[in-house]
Amino acid sequence: MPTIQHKIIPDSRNHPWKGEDIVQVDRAIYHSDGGGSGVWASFVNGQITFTGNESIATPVAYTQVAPTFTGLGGSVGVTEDDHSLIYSVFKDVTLAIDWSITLSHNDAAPQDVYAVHNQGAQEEYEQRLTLAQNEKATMGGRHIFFAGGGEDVSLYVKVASGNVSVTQAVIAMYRVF
Amino acid sequence: MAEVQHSTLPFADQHEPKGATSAQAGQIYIRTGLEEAEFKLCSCVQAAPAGVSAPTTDVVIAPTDFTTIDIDAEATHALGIWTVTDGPTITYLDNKSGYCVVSFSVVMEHDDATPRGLSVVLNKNDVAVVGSESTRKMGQSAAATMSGSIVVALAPNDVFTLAVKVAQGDITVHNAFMSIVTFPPTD
Repeated sequence: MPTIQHKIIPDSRNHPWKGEDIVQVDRAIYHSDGGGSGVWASFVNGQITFTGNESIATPVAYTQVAPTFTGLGGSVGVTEDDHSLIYSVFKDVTLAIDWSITLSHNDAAPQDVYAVHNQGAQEEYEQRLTLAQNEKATMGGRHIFFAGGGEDVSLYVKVASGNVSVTQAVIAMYRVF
Repeated sequence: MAEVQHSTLPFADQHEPKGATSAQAGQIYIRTGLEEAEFKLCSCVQAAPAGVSAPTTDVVIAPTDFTTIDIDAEATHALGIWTVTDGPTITYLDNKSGYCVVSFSVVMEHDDATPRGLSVVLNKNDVAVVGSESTRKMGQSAAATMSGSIVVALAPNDVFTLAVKVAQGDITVHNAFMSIVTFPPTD
């Protein structure tokens, strides 16, 4: 058999990328472990949505928005339970949350309506909008956090007076490495 | 020693890809040219002001033209080649160019008796990023959350800040944050 330099071995005679033949099919990202080896990692993505009309009675303190979310898009490494999106892989990763909520209140006077998610400090990431009676608005944002596995993401709202009506809510989660 | 075809080497005998011994944890293997690949970092950073929900730390300014928000900031999550200072100012320190997606949000109100347009814009190196400006007309002391998300070209030492303006009156900023996720460097 003729000698061939290792660096010019053609694809047809090359062995699989180390670990390629034994990892799960959704583990598509190869990255360094910092110690001279490589690791295959999973994508993470999932999304739950709600459209309808969920009324919350005068949430003076932050109250969870708990409609029945319909559908779980993506769903790699993510599950849905009790109106939350859960990172279900037990491994340290960096995740991003994209969230939005469309709501109104029914108090006769304009009120400050607050919305936030439960990851991170509420005061720093809360959204606020002054709305007149039955005026509808959408709030939301993106948040990045470390996750070790099992973290849940849900949405909360509050208003000083009046009932809050939620007509749409979305929580999306994905890996940003 | 028995001969083994290179294509059938078992897992234990396969070598790590070129560059693995010097790669940082979390770097991803990316094709960088013809028959070339390197371990490169995808990174993200997030900056938010500390404790800004308390009224005593609200920031009041009177910006008739876009003025950088000057509030204490802390990096709540920084990975890779980013630094965060007060402002909030986020600086990209790597020597590679590429792209990133910047998301930002500011909660603020104005005190003028006439309804005014509140605006926020993302600045890169003190220049407004085209397409990043958000505006909403609000009455006196009505709180507005202004936010946006945009993809921006990224070069070494780029600095990102947020700026706000109103035609008349003072602006009170209740809180603000930015998050940035990079795409793999392109050079």
